[in-house]
Amino acid sequence: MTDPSEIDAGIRAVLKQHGRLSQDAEALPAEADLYQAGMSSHASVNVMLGLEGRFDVEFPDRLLTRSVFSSIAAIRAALSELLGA
Amino acid sequence: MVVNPPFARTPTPPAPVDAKAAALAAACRPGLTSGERLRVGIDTVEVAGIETSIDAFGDRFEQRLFTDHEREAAGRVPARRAERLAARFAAKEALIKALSLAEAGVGWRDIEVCSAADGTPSVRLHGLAAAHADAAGVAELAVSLSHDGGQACAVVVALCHPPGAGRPRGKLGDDSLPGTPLATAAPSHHADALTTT
Repeated sequence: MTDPSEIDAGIRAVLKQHGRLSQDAEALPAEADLYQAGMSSHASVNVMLGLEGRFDVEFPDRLLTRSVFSSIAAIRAALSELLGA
Repeated sequence: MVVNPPFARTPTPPAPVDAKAAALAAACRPGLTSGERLRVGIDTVEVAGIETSIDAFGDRFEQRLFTDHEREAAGRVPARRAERLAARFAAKEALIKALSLAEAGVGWRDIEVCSAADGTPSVRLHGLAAAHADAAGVAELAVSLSHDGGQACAVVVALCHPPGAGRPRGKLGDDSLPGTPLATAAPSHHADALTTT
């Protein structure tokens, strides 16, 4: 799965399940701040694990930063790197 | 000859703003030497959320976040395992806040909450977390854990020496010095909370 739209769809599905957002993950702009949308640090861990399961990747420690999980676009960039897209 | 009336006083000139600021800073920093400073971080975690994570991700969740020691310590009281893990996760996040490590790319297992035989917690840093603490001049850490009403929380306070002041070796608690935790227990008035987590 390397198509950006497929990646975004997968990210939104994981956010919907694990992000505990106060807004609909499907309608959230790609650049919107997920922490401002209600995602806690604990929820971001669940999102990270959910992404690993869905995309069959593993986030290395260097990518375990607040900014990597700050928006759908930022997550997409990290996943694209891990997927070699 | 002019005699001042009994209650007349020569007005004291106002202290310069810098002097006032210095006096205020000194009053707010009892016990700290010049250049030392304190950094603090706090975090709270919903215990039920940790249970949900364990249900959803199983061992992968625990192995990613917690060291074997932390998992063993949390499991000593099986009925309270989730709240003890929640408190430990809160401590990791509190330390990340205290040392501003949110963008450092530090793994959670590099921040280890240790428990003494009496339940007193401390923090041991490994790898990149230890390196950042060293660079920040961290000389001592204090951690306190607590939980109530479905919430677990932790506070971490770091005492930092000024850059270049050096730090006594053997306190970092990194991989080269096993068994030497960087953090010390919180003051005794937190003892009740400490021993229950």
